[in-house]
Amino acid sequence: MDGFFLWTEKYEGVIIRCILLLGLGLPLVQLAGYLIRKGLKKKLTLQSVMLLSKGVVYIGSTIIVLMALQTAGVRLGTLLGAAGIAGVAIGFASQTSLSNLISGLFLVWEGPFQVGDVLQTDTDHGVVHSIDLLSIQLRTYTNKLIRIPNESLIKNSFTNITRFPIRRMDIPIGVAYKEDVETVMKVLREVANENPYCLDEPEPVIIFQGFGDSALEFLFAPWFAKADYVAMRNSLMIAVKKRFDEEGIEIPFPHRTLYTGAVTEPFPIRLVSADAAPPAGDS
Amino acid sequence: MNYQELWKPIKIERDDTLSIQLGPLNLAIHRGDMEWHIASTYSQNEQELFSVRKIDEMPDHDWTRWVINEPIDEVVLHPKMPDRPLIVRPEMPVCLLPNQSVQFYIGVPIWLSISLGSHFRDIAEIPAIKLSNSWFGSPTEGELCYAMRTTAKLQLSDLQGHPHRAVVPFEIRNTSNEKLNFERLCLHTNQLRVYQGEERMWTNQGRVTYRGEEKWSRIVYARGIPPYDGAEKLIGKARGGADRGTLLKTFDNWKHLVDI
Repeated sequence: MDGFFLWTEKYEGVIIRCILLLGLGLPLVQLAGYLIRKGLKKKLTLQSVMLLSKGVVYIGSTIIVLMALQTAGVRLGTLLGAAGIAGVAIGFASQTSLSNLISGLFLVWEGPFQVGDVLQTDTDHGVVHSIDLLSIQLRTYTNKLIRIPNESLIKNSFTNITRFPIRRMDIPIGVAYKEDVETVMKVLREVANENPYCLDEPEPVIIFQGFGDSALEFLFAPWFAKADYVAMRNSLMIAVKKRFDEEGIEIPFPHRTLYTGAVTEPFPIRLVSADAAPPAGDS
Repeated sequence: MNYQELWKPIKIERDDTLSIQLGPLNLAIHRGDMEWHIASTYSQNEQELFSVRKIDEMPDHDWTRWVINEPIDEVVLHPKMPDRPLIVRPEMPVCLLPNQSVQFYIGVPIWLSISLGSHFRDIAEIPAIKLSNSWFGSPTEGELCYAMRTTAKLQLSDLQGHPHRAVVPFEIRNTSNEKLNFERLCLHTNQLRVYQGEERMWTNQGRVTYRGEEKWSRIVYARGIPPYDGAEKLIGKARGGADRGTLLKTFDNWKHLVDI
């Protein structure tokens, strides 16, 4: 016990300096990170602010700890040498993490999406929930969380569906061959004009695409503000069906013609009366 | 009842419903016990342009409910201009020759702002006509607007009096040496106030000066009252002042729009 008191008496100044450094320095670094997040929130993108604040906190904390160790008399040269050897070993072991980290930096620099954007990758579709150093997290429309490593976003293509304020909704529509093409296009134009969610400008795209297997094929593609997706899709589909019914425009289903072997000869048909006995085999 | 009476406070007894027909809009306001209900429907038929009647029953509408812990017995309505800019498209393209100016009169549908008593102001806003959306700018950057077709009358005598529209007097000056062809123009309605004239509602005067394809057009909205129809009484305030940012954006978009 006496030894402990003697040790504390001997190193009293060093201990106090170390406690002051850690006790004041680390909270100050955290405060700097907080001020960066608050101050730059409106000036930079969310991921840039996050990266900057975390960078300041990690680097600042490391410097404070190193200063405390130096004050305590630890030889930093030896420590850093050992850390270098350990760093090589750790580096080999954490190649994937480093790759994700660097990919994350490139993504932040490029800024192809932000928190809240809707992303479509080869396999996933959802709203960007968070952007972290190693990965991004997508929240799907069924409320599941998907973690996508940054490296795969750098390597593969993805679509940011909500990057621009307006979008075009491409709706393929088929009508029966007997219908008048110009009438169909006129009706579609009227449906778009009557729908308040369809943008008047840019004008809706209506294209007669060609002669399909079972229908005359059209592309009906009105523009809309991205927030109105669900409202416009529902109201537009209902309106198209309603107007086609009113105008007597038939939406066909796939047709298949059966031949009995010789195209010129029709199916043999035998007429029976309604009250006739059912054929053998029916019960 | 004249539609101008609509801008005065209207008393409603408990459990009564006020039904207001204003153009295609049917607005129903019901007073309950410490709560108010508001509903709006739209009809295709504009035959009955204006009517106000009190009815005993609550119609089967999609109501919104406002709970207020005060015994308020009156509702106050104000006309306002649309809450977004308007892309106004004349029924046919207009060509203005060099050094000419023209004054258009454009009937813009009003928004009804509803206040309960004097404390609860502007609790809801209902458009007299549901306008379609439109876009002002490029597909990557711009502003969400409303679209409106207009006959853009040139003569005051041609104007019809609609209780659900306010007339915007809008002058276009072509001070350049080239023809100005345009199919549509943008009205930044947040700078327009609504005045009650003897027959119609009016807004302050707007003026755009076209100075050539390579130069920005200057758009100015007058601060004074419109010199028409004795329209001196302010009945609807502007939504926002003429802030400089809006004006700069308007110049840009105006150039884009007339550059057809």
